[in-house]
Amino acid sequence: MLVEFEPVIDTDVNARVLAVASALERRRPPGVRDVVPAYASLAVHLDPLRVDRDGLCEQLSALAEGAAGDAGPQPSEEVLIPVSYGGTNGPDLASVAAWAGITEAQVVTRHVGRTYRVFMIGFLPGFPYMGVVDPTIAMPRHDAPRARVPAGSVGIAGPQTGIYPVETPGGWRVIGRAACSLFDLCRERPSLLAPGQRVRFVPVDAADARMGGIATP
Amino acid sequence: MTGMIVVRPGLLSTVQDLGRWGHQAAGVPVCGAMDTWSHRLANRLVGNTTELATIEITVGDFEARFTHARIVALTGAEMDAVIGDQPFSAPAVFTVWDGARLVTARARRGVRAYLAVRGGFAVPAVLGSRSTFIRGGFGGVDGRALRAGDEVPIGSPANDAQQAEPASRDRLVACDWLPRRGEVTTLRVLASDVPGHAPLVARLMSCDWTVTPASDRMGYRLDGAPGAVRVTDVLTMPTAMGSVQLPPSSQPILLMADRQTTGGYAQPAAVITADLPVAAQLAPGDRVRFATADLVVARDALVAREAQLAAASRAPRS
Repeated sequence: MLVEFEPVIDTDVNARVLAVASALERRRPPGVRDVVPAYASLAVHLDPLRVDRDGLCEQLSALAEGAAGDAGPQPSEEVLIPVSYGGTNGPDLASVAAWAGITEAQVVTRHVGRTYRVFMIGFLPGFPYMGVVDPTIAMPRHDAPRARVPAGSVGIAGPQTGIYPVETPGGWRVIGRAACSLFDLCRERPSLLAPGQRVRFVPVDAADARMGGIATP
Repeated sequence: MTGMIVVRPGLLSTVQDLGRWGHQAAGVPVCGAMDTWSHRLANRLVGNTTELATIEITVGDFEARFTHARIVALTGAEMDAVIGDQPFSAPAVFTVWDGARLVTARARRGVRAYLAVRGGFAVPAVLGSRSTFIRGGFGGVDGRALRAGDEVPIGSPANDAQQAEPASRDRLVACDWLPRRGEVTTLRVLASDVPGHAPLVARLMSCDWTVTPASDRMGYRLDGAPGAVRVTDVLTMPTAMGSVQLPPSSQPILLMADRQTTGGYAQPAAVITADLPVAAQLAPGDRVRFATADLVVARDALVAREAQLAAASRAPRS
């Protein structure tokens, strides 16, 4: 079952999605196997023979209505992600700069100059979809993906910015590399980031990009 | 240790259960048996509860040796096999013994077979499931396909496990629901009622589709008549098994067990749950057509499939 809000990348819309998701997680209706939030939609995965479909529909409608204007849980901490920008770590930094008509240093300044919201995790375990990127550097993704994007690569795709948790094909514009582990099965919560969190990038020298994500109080 | 030693894994054999649920919000795909109906039947035939792990065998050419006596079942694709020097035809239940060697041929109908053993394949669970997530490298045996030499542990049967059906080398149930080579298989779908999706749904209904070789556990790429539908991408949204995506190329993608948790292609339809096992038994070269259904049809079809499973779980006594 899919709950859909206005399909835009917007903090308030996403906050409503997350509010419905957390209400469902707090008290999981029978027959619900998984709850998956995205930018502006929420999937409720169900066992068709066990679920009370009409009842669930009503419940979801009520939750969605009630979530209007609800900003959802306010995370108090910002996660800092150290990133080594440019050079071999950021093969697309030059083209983003050219596209924007500014210098590479200015691209970096504009990328680190914002606090991003984690809107959702998807595509791969731990891959964060974050936004909203400064429109002046919000270059669209490549037409065709690169065959191999190294683990930790920090990318831009239009208004979105993300970090590749593992080496994979990928089409986002890679401007730097983060040294933190986005997904680790040894952690109690394997994904480093979660929807609703706030993230800032911190430029570091390649040699210093060894620390994991640091949360500030 | 009670186990099964892989001698030849065949094309692709992996440990799977009913999937890794509850972690899609962290980007972890569900994975699990492609044909959950056959997986559950195999477990029931050996007296297991259905969430225990089986081995999903793709195409065939699978060979393994058992270390202890156990009840074993092979379901799903229709294939000939031998245990020791006794030939049989899947689906079947049989008893293995210390040193027994199971060898399968290639599937004659369908493409995925499920090997269940009483007690289940007891690899460690990761995030609550024994399913193999190949791309992520975890679950099953070291997060990968089985290889020659792997020793897959077998669990002890639970004390309150159902009585396993006695060994029967007769065919247990007619494989009538498996796709037939050379015929067009119909998959019933629930179509999106979003107004903008009408032309996309029409596109899906407009021709028969061929499963291309670029198809795997993540999904099947379908090939058909060139399309004139203008398709735009959507804001990244969750996916489900059986969802049919329509990318700008207008060549559909049928999402399967290892699909990514979210995607940016339009999803104008989804295969009904009752027909997912059929989809799971399609091989490259097979042809499909989509037919729209509503929730009533979908529910009735699922109830019928469950009744079929219950009937098939009761093996004839030999």
